[in-house]
Amino acid sequence: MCSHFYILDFILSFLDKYLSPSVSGAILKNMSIQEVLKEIRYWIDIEGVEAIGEGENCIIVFISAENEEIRKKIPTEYKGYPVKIEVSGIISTQ
Amino acid sequence: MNSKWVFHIGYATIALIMPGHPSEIISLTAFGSSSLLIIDIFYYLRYKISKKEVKMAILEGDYLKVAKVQEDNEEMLLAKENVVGVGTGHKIKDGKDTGEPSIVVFVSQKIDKALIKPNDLIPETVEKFKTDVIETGEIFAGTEGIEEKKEEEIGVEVLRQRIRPAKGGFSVGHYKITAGTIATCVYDLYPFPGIPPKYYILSNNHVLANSNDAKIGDPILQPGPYDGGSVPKDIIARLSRFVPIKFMKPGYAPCNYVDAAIAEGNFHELDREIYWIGYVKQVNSRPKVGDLVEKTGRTTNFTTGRIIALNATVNVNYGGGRVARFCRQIMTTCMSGPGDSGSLVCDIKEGAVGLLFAGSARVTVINSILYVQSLLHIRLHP
Repeated sequence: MCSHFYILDFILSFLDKYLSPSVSGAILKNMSIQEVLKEIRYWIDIEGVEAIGEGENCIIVFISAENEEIRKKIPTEYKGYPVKIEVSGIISTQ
Repeated sequence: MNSKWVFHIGYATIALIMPGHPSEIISLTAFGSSSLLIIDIFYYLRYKISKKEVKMAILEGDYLKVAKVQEDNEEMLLAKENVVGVGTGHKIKDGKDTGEPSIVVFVSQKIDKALIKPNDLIPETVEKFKTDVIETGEIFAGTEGIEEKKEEEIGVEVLRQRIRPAKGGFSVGHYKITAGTIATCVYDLYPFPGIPPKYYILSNNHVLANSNDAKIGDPILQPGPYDGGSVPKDIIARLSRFVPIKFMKPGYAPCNYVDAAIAEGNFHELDREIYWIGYVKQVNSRPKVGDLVEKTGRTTNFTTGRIIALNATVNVNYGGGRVARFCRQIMTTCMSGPGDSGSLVCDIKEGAVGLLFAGSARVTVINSILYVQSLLHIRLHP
C-alpha cells in the first residue's frame, strides 16, 4: 500500500519538475479553492498581508504596500491555483 | 525666518495626522479637542516632545505670535463644520503670497457664505491676525484617492440631512459616534409569513453600537452626530441587537463574519427604499467575482464597483490599535469612503449582496448579506 504512495509521489514530483506549472497544477488541483484558502489562512499573519481571498480561478493576496520581502514569502502558485498579489493599502472601518 | 518652515508647520497639523485611522480623521473634524489630543500624542510619540515645544523651536517673531494665537483658537476653529485643519502660514490674496503671517484654515470645501450657518463662518481675523481659507478636500489616511474623493464630495449634503421617514443611504449613528449610513430597513426573520413585531434600521455595529461600546436601548440619531444629529430631537431608533466584534489579541485571532447591528424604530418613520437604488428585489446569495455592484452611502453617494474576491479573510483596523479579523468577506474595487459604513451593496438588479463596513484607497470590504440576516435574525426581502 505504502509503495503506491511512493510511486504517486514520484510521478507528481516528476510532473512538477519537468512539466509547466499549469499542467502539473491541473493535475494537482484536487482540492477546491475553498479548501485551499482554509489551508493558507495563516498567510494573513505575514506582516504586510491585509487579506486573502478567492479570485477568478486564483488566490488573491492583498498587501498593505509593495514589498519584495512579502513577494518572496508567497508562492506564485499553490496546489495548482495561481496566486496573485494586489496592493490594497491598510484596510480600516469606514 | 525661512518661510518654508512656516508652511511646514502650517501643514503639520494635517500632514502628521494622515497616517492615522479614518475614524480618527473624522473625529478630527468633529471634535476639536479630541483631534488636538491625537496631534499631541503623535508629537509626543514621534518627537518625544510636545507640539508646543516643536513650534517654539522653529518659529520666531510674528510667526510665533500667530502660532500662539492659532494654538489658543485651534479648538474653536476645528469645531466649525467643514474645517479639517488649522495652521500658520501666509495670507494668499488673488493667488499671490502676500508674505503676511496669518492663520491658515483648511476646509473640505469652499462654500458660499450665504449657505454657512453663522456659527460655522470662519472669522476674517482672529485676535488681529488675518485668516486664510484653503480648500483641501476631506483628509484621509494616505494620499491615494484624495482627488477622486474631492469629485465625489459634490452634492454630499443631501444624504447628511435629516429625513423622515428615514431611507437607506442616509446618515445615521449611535449618539457617541460620528456618522455612518443606513443600509435599509428590515424586520424580524420570524414569524414569516405573519405580522412582524418590530421594524429596524440596519447598519454596522461600529455605526449603531459604537464598536461594542453601547447598551441596548441607546439612542440612534438620524442624521448622525457629525452631520448635526442631536438627542433628543433626531432620535430615529433605539439600539436593539448587535453582533459583538471579537478583537485580536496576541495569540488570539478569532474570525468575525459581520460588523452588523439593528435599531428598532417606529414603522411610520422607516422607509426601506434606498436613495438612488430603490427597493431591494431579492437577496443575492451567490455573488461572483467580476459582478458589478452598487451602493448609496452618506459620504461618496451613489457608486459602483466590481467584485474582486470572495471568501476573503481580512484584518480590519478599528482605531486605537484594535484590529479584528473577518472571514468569508466579499471584496470589491474601491467604491466607498469614511462614513459610508453600513451601506447596503446590491447587484445591478437590486439584489442585496452585503453590508459595507471597511475599505482602503484601493478596496472595499463587505459582509455577506446571508451572514447578516442569519446572525441578526432579520429579513430584508420580501
